[in-house]
Amino acid sequence: MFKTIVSKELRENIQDFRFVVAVLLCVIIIPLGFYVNAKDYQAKEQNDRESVRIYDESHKRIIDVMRQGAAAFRPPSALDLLSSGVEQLLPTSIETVGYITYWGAQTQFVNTRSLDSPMSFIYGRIDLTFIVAVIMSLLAMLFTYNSVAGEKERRTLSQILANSVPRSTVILAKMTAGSLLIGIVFLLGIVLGLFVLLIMGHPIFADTGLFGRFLLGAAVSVLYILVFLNFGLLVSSLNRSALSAIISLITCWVFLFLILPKASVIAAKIVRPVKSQQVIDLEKSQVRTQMQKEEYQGVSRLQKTMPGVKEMTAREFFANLRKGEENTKAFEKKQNEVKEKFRVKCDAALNRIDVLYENQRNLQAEIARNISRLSPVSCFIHIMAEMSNTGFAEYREWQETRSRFKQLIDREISAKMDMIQFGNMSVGGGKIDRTAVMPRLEHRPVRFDRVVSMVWPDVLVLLIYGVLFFAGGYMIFLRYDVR
Amino acid sequence: MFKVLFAKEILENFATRRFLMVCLLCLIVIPLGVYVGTRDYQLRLNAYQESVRIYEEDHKSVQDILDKGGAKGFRPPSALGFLSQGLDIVLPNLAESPARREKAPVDLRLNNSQSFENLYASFQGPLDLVFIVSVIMTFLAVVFSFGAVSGEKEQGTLRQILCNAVPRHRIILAKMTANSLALVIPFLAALILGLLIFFANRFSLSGPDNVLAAIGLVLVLSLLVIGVFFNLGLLVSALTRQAVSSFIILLLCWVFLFGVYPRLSVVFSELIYPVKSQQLVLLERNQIRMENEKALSAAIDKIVESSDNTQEKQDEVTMEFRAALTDKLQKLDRDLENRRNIQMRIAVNFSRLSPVSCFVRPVAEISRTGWMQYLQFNQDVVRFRSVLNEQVFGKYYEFEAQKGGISTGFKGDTSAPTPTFQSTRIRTQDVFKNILPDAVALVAFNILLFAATFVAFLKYDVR
Repeated sequence: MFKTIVSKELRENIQDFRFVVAVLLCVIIIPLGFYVNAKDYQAKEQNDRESVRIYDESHKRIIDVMRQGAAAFRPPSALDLLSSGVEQLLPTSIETVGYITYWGAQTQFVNTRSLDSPMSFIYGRIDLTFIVAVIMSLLAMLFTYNSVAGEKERRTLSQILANSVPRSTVILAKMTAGSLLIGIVFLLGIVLGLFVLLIMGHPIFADTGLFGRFLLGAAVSVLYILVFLNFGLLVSSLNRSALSAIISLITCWVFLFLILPKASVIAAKIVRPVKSQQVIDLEKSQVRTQMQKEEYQGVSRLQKTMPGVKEMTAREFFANLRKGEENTKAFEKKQNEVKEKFRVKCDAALNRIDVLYENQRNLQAEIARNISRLSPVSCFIHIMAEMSNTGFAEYREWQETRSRFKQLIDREISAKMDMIQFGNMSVGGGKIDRTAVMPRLEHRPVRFDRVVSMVWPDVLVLLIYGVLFFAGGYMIFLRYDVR
Repeated sequence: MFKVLFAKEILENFATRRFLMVCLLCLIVIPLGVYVGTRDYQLRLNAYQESVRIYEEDHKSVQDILDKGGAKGFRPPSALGFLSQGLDIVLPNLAESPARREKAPVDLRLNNSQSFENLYASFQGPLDLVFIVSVIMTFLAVVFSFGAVSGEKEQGTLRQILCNAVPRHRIILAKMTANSLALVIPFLAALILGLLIFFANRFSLSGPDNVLAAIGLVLVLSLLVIGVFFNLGLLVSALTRQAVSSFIILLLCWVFLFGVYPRLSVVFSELIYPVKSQQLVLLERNQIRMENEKALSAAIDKIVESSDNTQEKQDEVTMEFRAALTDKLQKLDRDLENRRNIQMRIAVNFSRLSPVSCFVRPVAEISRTGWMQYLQFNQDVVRFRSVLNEQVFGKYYEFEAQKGGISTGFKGDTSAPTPTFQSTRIRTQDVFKNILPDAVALVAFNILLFAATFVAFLKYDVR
């Protein structure tokens, strides 16, 4: 009996013009989306490679870095055809600010990619996430809105129920047929899209990790489509006419998809306001200036009080130092101690500002995220962005890269520098080998377990939604009063 | 007769759950959007003022620019951000000179620190008026029009109406006016409520000179774009026999027009006319600069080694190289901006086929958060750069008295006040000129769809 109903449902749906629309949409839009994104990635990747080449050419030795400053570039994500997430807003590079001194490098995030394609920020990108979250979920609802309500309207449902067929079989058959249809149509689009990528020689075929992530993204998409399919069936069972079913479906969809996630951000901003990055940067530079001033005063005080040295003029001092006179050596040592003290103090102060700020910001994002989990759409978008390395895990990774970058420069350059100051003369030390090769910063992609730890609640929420909608549709159908 | 028909439509529309839903949605979402937008603006304005204050406190004289990390110019946020956030968080909001002592001509780097702090917000997109109108109101326009004709066909009431001695055009006109009123009244009421919130906060800092004109312009465009979808709904409704099928067709049109087509137009423009990435251009500039510097230092070395090593001679050579470098960099700049503008024009013209993009981009321009704002900021930055190069970095010099012994100095008063960055407002006329084609396109869409509906209804075969 189950088979009969499934085949009836399949035939009914396949002959409908909706099916043609769905097939056309999937077959055209998914490969098209993959194509344009892959093309775009090629261009971005080429630009990035060229940038790295030019940079490497002009930054071979320590001296080049000391003169021009250092940079590390974030390569574009190859998976941005799955989801472009916040790729446009993530830092494109980390650069040093000003001179690299014995105080250590100052680093900052730089974003130049947002200027490369400003209009796509207004209109959005046509990635798989958009296609699934908007078009496929809409199709899923179009496939199911009348599967119960339509039969109620045409009175065919009472005829079916008049046969000796358990109601659970009827609703399960409807669900199976709907899932099969939309699943096949979607996977057809994905396979065609993959074929396009294969022809274009996209890197996801070269890297099993990327390919695995792609497949996981596709699997999550299927899960998401099924959630909406079940939602459609639930609403369809609740309504007596197909028209009111589709209107209430789409209204819910607009609310879930468009309004709720935005409201979550607003709520978080109002509950936990955070200072702007610009102000933080300026505050940090104020702290730094203040500390440098204090350091200068500390060294001057030392110079004026230290016996054997305080009487010398600057010229005499440096001449004696070169000769290796004892007093001057002792002064150099003392001075370095004072400087080290202030450097450590400054580092601690700056770190405190950074940590406080990051914590505030993370807390705000966490609140927004948890509220937005009420909407399945927002869960889905998050999962996809993290899978494609265009989300918040990538940002955290780059915050760590930034500190690794600073450590590298501090280790290779700042730690080897010394500066001896006397009066208003200062002489830089020569311990540093200026012609040594500057080591490169290794690029570390986001580890998969970190992605998993970030997205498992979202996957769980999606599953719960799926099960809830399914159970709801099932219960309501079982309790349907034919009269 | 028109009155009777009109009254019937009004009763039919206003006494439904649908109307209640629209009222609630508008009255909640629009004032909320305006409130959030203005609050966001306040936060950003505070950040801007705080930044300027700290910067000015630290940079009182030219000496401070040379010592304390260079000169900076800040772009103020736009007070009309609640209308459209547009490109506000991706466009640079800071121009800074290198934080080191450098000889002229220095470059000002455009920086954007806002993007990192708005990662989460931009993930979900803003709840500005543009979003509310271009997505929610257009959807509601479809909801209000899809059944206007096809619903009556289905119920068989249309035949009965047509049996009376009433011209068909009156029927369709009555439908249009009554249905659009049901949508526009809640929208306007909500908008007025939102504007009260806006004006209660009294901002005018970097909005356009004439805030009311800007808001009025946005209102007209909003009504036009809602009208396009409303007329589209009526057209499809007049062409189909079933309310459900007209709704499905309209839904697909709606998704295509607001979601798919504008996105495609942007990507196509990028594929057709690729532009080098900003990063690459910056690195190339750096390369040119380094080469120039190398050549310059070789030339100076020659002078140092020669018998008459005077500062005048070194300055002369330096000036020569400086002029050559400025020329090269400016040419590079112009090329990049030209290419970018062409790409932008292609994208804009492509996207004009969708009424939604004819609405979204102009509103961004009106709110001073669009591409024009970027171009204006860029111009201001160029001006600021030439002032800085003239008054600060151009006076800073290095003199190589002997090989390896470089002394530096400043020709002028280092305690002179710092030049400040001046941001210019975009004039309303310029914006108007820029958005005129979009407004015309919207009007044309309306007229075309209206005429088509009219004809389709007049030719409707009752059988």
